[in-house]
Amino acid sequence: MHAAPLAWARRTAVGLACLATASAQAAPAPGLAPLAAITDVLAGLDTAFGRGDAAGYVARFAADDPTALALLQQQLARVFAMTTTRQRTSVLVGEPRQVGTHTVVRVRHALDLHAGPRATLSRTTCTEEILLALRRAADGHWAPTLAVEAAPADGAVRDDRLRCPACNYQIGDVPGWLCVPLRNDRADALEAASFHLLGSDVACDVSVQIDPERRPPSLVAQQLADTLRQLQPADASGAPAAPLPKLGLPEAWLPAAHAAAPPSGLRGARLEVDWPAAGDDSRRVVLHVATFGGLQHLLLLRGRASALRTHAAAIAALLGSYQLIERDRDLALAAAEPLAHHTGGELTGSTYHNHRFKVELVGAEGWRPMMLAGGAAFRVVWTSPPPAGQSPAGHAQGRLWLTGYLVPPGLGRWCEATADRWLAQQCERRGLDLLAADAGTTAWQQAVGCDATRTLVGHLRQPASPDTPRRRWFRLLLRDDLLLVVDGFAATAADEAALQKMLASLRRE
Amino acid sequence: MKPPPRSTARTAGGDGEGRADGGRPFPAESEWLELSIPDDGPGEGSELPSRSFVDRVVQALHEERALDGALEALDRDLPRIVLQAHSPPPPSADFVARTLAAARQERRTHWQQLLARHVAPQPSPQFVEQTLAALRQEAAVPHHRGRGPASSWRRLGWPVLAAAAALVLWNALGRGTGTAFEVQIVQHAAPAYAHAWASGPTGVLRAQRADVDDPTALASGTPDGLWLAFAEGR
Repeated sequence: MHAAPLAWARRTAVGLACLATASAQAAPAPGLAPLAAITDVLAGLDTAFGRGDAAGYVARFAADDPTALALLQQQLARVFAMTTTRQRTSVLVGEPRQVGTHTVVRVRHALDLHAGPRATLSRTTCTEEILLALRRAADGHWAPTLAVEAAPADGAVRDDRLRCPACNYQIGDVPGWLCVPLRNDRADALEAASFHLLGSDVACDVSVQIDPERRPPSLVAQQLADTLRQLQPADASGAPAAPLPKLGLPEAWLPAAHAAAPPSGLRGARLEVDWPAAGDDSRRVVLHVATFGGLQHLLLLRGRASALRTHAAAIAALLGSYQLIERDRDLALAAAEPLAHHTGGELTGSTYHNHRFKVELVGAEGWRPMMLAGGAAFRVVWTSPPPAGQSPAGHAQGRLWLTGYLVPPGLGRWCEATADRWLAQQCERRGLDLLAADAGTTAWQQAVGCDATRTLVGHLRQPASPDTPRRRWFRLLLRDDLLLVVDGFAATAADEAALQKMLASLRRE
Repeated sequence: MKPPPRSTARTAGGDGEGRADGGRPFPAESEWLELSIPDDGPGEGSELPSRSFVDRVVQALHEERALDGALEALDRDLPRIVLQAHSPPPPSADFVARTLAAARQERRTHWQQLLARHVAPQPSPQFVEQTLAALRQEAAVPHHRGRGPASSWRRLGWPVLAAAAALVLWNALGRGTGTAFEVQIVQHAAPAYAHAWASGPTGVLRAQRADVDDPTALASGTPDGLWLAFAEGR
């Protein structure tokens, strides 16, 4: 009765064994892809880009990581939807190199994009860089397997190792792992990089943040996991449109390099998040959070759960390479040094001064300043003192933010139209109406130290509580290379006077 | 204690065996480990602190701790004394509104957190199958007296529809859409922001967390250049 299934299983096993043997025999010898092959691949991709054919573009890939390819297709589709015609020319930057059995090249794309009359700009030219991995297929031709946008080389990444003395850590230089430095605006972090285990769908996203509240790593991991769950798409009724992830519990974790003798002040936690799926497709994220004073390192490991099991040794090697550079750094400086290095700013009392961008804002007396980290060039927030003799709890406090935005790649320079557009987007997201007719609102006007400046007043549509201030002030300072946005609200009459003084104190040399 | 710089030791005596200020011969580096431990007592010329000095330091520390304890006790009593000297001020006009709003906000946050972590389980395939089988069985049983086919359909209609809906829901939720969470998360972000064009989920995750941490701030994300240039469409 069971003879037929047994025979089938035997035949299948023998077939698979033959296939594996044949595949192994046909596997190309490791080596770099010839330049001609790389050039052919790039020419084919540029042609597909010019046609606006996202599906055709990704069809040229022999993907090891379908998720990375899906993200790439999504980005391309967005670009194609916004432009009418487009042209792209690609050149190699530096020499091809070998990572495992793959050839990796840095490629610079020169883009010339055109849009219709409804767009803010009719044309823009820009460059972007990617890391492209290629693998030789069984038939001998070289096929791209992975293309990931990369930040311009700044010396922090060498030999697939990321080392930042200011952020006090290093990770990488592990066989098989490709390190891709990321633009910090893409990662909304002070610094970021992705490590891809070529030949698999396993990746580890490393990012650095500053946490002025110095939350414990277990809480950070828990909050990030909760956020992952909140980010799941919902249908029109608000119900989840896909299976919700299962959250594990945070557990203590320390980098292997420091597990035996942890540096004083280093804390760590890890937490697993699983997305159930049929068959072998369930995906998993493992959040590793390490904190050192106000400095926060996040290592977000992701991939299919089965792939994470298969490549456990390679993953352990990568995580094992992560370590602090200075074990005994003063905890008080742990956050200040990365901020000074990456943003160029520092606080003296309640006054913020940025040496790199020549910006200064004088904080009002009693207002507590705090430097933040994210995708912007710099960001600072001030909070007004609570009413005399009372604690901050239960009382609305005035606040003021100063944010510096670099020119986003693809734009060329800041102008009044793009600055207005960005502020409108930010206000719309927060439920703020900009009041054009308000006496406080001004048009763009020339000012000393910048190309133009303007002041605007916003009104909060739905305050969270009755004592939430509804009136919000904005001041913009514009130069070709930097947009400064100061925005804030006052909770009391005293706050209002201080707020106006601070808005007026913003200077750029 | 660090040994003095090599050059100092050599130049003191000219031959590497110099004399310390007190006139005692200064040992060579190779001899340091062989030196005997000096007397612990308060002898004249001893470089170690005397026992009485150590005792005095320990005693001073004890006294300082005792004083700290007394001051802490005083601090505990002081607010009570101070508070008794004042009468409570009348509540402000918006006290009730603010308190209610704060309580409502706390309650909302609490429930959001609770619900976010406990999601109702999806119906299992076994549940759906058993429900449908039970309904089929019930339908096969002869109708009771006084109930016509129309009432029977009405009776069966809602449960069958509910079971069918459960089946559809299970198929929709349990099987997944085939789209990796990274893609779903990045799709979730507005294309105005640079992190919405990222090659991984970290940026969207960080930005969303920042929004939750500080709902009064403008979004922490930065603008995407192509969106700023071309967002109005073709």
